[in-house]
Amino acid sequence: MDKRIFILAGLIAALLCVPALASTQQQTSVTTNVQNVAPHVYNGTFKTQIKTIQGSVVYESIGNYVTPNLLRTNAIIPYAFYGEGISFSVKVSDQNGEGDLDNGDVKIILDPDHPYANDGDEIVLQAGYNPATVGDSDQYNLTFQKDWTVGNQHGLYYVYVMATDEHGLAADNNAVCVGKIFLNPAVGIDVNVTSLTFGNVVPGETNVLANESPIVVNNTDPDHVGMMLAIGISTTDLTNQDGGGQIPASNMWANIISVNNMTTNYNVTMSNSAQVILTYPGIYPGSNNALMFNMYMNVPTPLVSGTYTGSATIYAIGI
Amino acid sequence: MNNLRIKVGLIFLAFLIAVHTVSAFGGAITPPKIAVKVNASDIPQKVTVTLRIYNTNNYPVKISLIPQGEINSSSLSTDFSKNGFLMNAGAKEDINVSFNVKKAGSYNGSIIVKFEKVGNNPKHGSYLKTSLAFPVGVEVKTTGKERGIPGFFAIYSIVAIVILALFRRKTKK
Repeated sequence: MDKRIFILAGLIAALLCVPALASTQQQTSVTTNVQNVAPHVYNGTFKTQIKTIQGSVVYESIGNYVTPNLLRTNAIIPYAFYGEGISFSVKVSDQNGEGDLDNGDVKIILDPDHPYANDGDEIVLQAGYNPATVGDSDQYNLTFQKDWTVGNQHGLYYVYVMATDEHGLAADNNAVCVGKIFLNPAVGIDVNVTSLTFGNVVPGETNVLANESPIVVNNTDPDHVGMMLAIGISTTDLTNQDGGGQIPASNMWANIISVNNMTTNYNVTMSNSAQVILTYPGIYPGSNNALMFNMYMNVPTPLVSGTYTGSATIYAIGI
Repeated sequence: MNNLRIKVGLIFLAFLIAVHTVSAFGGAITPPKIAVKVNASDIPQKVTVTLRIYNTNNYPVKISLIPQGEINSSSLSTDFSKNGFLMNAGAKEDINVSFNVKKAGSYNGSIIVKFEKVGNNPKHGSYLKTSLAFPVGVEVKTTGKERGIPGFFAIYSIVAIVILALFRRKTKK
């Protein structure tokens, strides 16, 4: 008997609930708030490319990877000279989708300070997004880029990236340091001579070695960027100070005996115009890598007696 | 005895290394390359770039700046704020280099920055006095179109028409 009453009561209750449930489905709205998430700068994707004005790429790196076999591949710090172009690019991500970034703000900042200090000595470059990365299969990342030409700045600059999304929310790793670059580093050499003397010679004497040999040329690389140097040399004719005779420049030659800690043996005949001793890869910095050469002379005959003088110029060209 | 030989040998080796690392004559400059772009519509134009020179020696040196190639012509001349001067030991000097672009075009050349030690020539025998030179590669390029003289063509045309008219009148008489 009790069981029947319970079943009946349950059935009535169920019938009463059906319209109530139906009305709940019509009236209840489900709401949720999707948070705006801070963007993220992928510093490992930061790309630096340095080009000469002729458009030749001399340095390129992505993250810590440096492209091999370029003129400045071995630079300790990437460097660029006045008028050269630098292209920067970096990937920025947003979990709200790339649409949150295309009206955002990404800056590449070159700052002498480390860590970043907003004290007015920085170079601020406004980056724009690469349109090719909009609407591609990658819905979260946009690549931002900036091409810039080096001016009269001098010194070491740290490179930072600052990003905000279109709501002004800053990246979770904002002002992330992505590398460094040296603008207009100095070229420097020192040599162990201020003159080359051949002493007392007689007409017809051959293979007279300059007393100061070997001549040692060091790449001092004053800013420690790892710059290589090409080296050239020229001499004038040696002329008799009392008049009446000369020893042509072509009677002298440099015998290159060592460079970059390696023994060599080749001759460069002197001329009034600069003669290249060494081009690429040039001399690396440091005294261990010094260029060493002996200077020789053949004394012509006949030749009037007297003191013969001239000048030698050593040329250093930054690569 | 053996120890003495080793010591003498080490001293001799140290001496040889010292001889090879003597810094007798040095110098440095920046930048070693300059590339300038000029808008042709702004010609004639003067572009100034700073060249920094370091005398790394402990004695004075004479500095000479020598422009070479197309940057020393009637279309593009190069001036220096200072030239042929003495630099004190350890000094740093900024020189303003002005490129006066008078005609559109592309110009290549170099500025030779020459370091010379003053005095102290060898007293005996034949010798070559050594100097150091840092060639600064220069490229000046103009972009866009050169601006014409306003109204020049119109004035020229009017003058030509007047001359022609006078000439005709004379021939008719």
